[in-house]
Amino acid sequence: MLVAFVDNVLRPFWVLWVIMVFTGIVFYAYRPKNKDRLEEYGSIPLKDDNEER
Amino acid sequence: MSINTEATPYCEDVIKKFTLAAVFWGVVGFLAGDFIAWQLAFPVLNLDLEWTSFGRLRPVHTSAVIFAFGGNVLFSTSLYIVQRTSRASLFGGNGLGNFIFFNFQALIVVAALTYVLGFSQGQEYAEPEWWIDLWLTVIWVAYLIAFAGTIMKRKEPHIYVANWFFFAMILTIAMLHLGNNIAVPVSFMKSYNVFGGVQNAMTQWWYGHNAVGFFLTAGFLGIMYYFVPKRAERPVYSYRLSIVHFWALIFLYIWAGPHHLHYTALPDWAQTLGMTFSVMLWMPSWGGMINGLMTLSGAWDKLRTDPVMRFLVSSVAFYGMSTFEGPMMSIKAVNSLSHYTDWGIGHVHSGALGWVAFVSFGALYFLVPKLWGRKELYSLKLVGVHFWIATIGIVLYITAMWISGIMQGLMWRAYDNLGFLQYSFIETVEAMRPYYIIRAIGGLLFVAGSLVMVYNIIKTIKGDVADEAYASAASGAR
Amino acid sequence: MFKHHAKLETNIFFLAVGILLTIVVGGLVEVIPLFSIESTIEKVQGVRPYTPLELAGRNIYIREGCYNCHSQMIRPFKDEVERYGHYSLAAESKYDHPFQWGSKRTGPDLARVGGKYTDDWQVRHLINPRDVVPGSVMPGYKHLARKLDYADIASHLKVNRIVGVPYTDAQIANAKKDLEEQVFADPASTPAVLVSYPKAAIGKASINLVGADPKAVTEMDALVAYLQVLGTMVDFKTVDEKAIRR
Repeated sequence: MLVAFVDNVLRPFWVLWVIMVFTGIVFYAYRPKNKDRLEEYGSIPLKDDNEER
Repeated sequence: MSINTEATPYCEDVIKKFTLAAVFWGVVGFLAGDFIAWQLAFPVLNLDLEWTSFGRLRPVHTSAVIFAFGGNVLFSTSLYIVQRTSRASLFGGNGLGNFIFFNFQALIVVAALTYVLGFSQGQEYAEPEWWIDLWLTVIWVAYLIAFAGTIMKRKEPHIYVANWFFFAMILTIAMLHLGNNIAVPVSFMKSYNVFGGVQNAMTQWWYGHNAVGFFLTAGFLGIMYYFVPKRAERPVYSYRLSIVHFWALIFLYIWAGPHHLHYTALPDWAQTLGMTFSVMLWMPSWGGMINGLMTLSGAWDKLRTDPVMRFLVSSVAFYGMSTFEGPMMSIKAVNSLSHYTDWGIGHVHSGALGWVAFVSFGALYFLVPKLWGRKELYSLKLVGVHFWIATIGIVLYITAMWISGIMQGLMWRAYDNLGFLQYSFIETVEAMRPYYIIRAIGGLLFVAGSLVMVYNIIKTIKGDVADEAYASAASGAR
Repeated sequence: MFKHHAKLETNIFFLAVGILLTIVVGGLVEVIPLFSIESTIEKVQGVRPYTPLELAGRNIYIREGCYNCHSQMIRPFKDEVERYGHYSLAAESKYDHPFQWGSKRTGPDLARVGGKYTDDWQVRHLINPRDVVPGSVMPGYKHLARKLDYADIASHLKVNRIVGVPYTDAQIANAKKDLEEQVFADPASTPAVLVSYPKAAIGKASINLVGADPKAVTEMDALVAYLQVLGTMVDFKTVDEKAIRR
């Protein structure tokens, strides 16, 4: 059952699956809703609590 | 956001050790490299001794720069960064850190000794014999535990992207190291790899190329994603781009190995896959470069005022150059000329000296004053001196190798009017000589620059301050 | 989907799984088929395991790091085929653990160096390359005049069999004898080692080498025996070119 699924579905179209996953990641990263939250993560290195600023 | 008023007690003793080890092995590795470069110009330097011949010293050079220098830089920076961005102290503390440190330094010394004495698995960048491989596996698992453990006890909810790159490096190197070194021992000092011929060629370059892709690229991109924003005092240009950069890079890199085997007895379908993915790899590579460079947007004057920033930014520019050159060289038509020649050596060094070493120098210059509680380095002026000496050295190195590589490739395939091969092999060797000398001079400049760094770092640790108005230069950008 | 990525960012285990899945694909697709696709290794006659002496020589080749400057892989280009000989087949290195295809030609390719030069030339060249090739940048290997240590040669053959090289029980049992015979047998006769390993180069290469014990097997003898067999096992006059085209 699993082997048949891998052989008949996963393997022949693997490029398609990879592209779909990649598109998903790009879509996730660039969704306007996520913009502020994600860009805020960029400041993690700058919020170092051991340095007087 | 909530600001934690209580300072986290970071483990920095062991980071200091890794930092000093990185500087030490850097100089050793550069010196070994320059020595063997002179050997190629003046074979008498092989000294007719078995221990000092090029064939035994070249693995000493490659292992010293990649694993001893690069490895210690990665240990130092990744364990520093993971603590800071997790706001948590090192998992396992200085105890686990010291275990990694002392075992790793001892392993380096032992591995180098075995090469010189003539013990080798005979696969590039994977020369250590079987029990040294097992020893490294233990060290690497300890590193994985220290790194992942620190992330697990973090106070910052999000795992910062630099840590993704380090983590991918740790996992992938573990897989490659185990996959490529499966061997059956005959004795303590000799083993035979279970793979042979074409299969061994494929596993070796799957390992070899991804040692570049994950050890020297992903790991050092982790360094870029922390130290460039930190030194520029602004967040990375686009955090969203860094997410896409990460997944695309690690997915595509793993396929690129067969471009080391173009036109060999490796089946064509594998070569074509390797070429295709290598060319595609250009895109995430430049995505990462843009992300690093554009972090400076609005603060470009720091390039002029801050030589440490200049190291970091130039490294990213060199990264862009080599990641353009690489995909180009992986195109089969180009590769038919470049493969087996010095062009490959030049390409590796534009990445290794320009990208890996420069981003490391930038990180070390940032770390040393921080770790030893100094306001700034002993002398930023000397950082500038280091930068220019090293840059001139790199330019001499890679232009000499471009010329000699392309020239040799063309001479090998040149025909005379009568339809005979125009040059004997030895004529092509003799034609290389001036370029080997120029390359060795370039390497010497690079070594000299690293000695300037050693002096600067020693003075900084001692707490000396040079008599220059650097304080204003360092803060001038604000 | 999107929620899942949020998990990747905050959970090290999910991140690990994501990374492992991503990096495993390429290796699986490129490496695994090489073991199962039949056309990977051409079907040609003549490729045999190395004689004990050649194997010992090959280990010296590896010990000295010859692969740092010499390739053993002739590409199918007109100039390379004219310079070095027929392009290399996968079958020709199928018993090589590890492979020694190399990645740099500071010196020439050695895939078919066997039989190109006399034993005497090889010895003189290895002792001081500039005696025979004035412009050479290769190191000299004076220490190869010393005795070869081959006490455990049978276990080397045994381990090679474990990793897939088809040595017979008789070949393993006779390893030491075969090694000595290849050096000391009369080249005009047909010693047993030649029956077991066709085309092996018989004779003592270092016979004229000053400092080498004429009664003992030297490292030089082993290395030269290895060099002399390189690329000679397949007789390309009998090979159907269409059958090996990739």
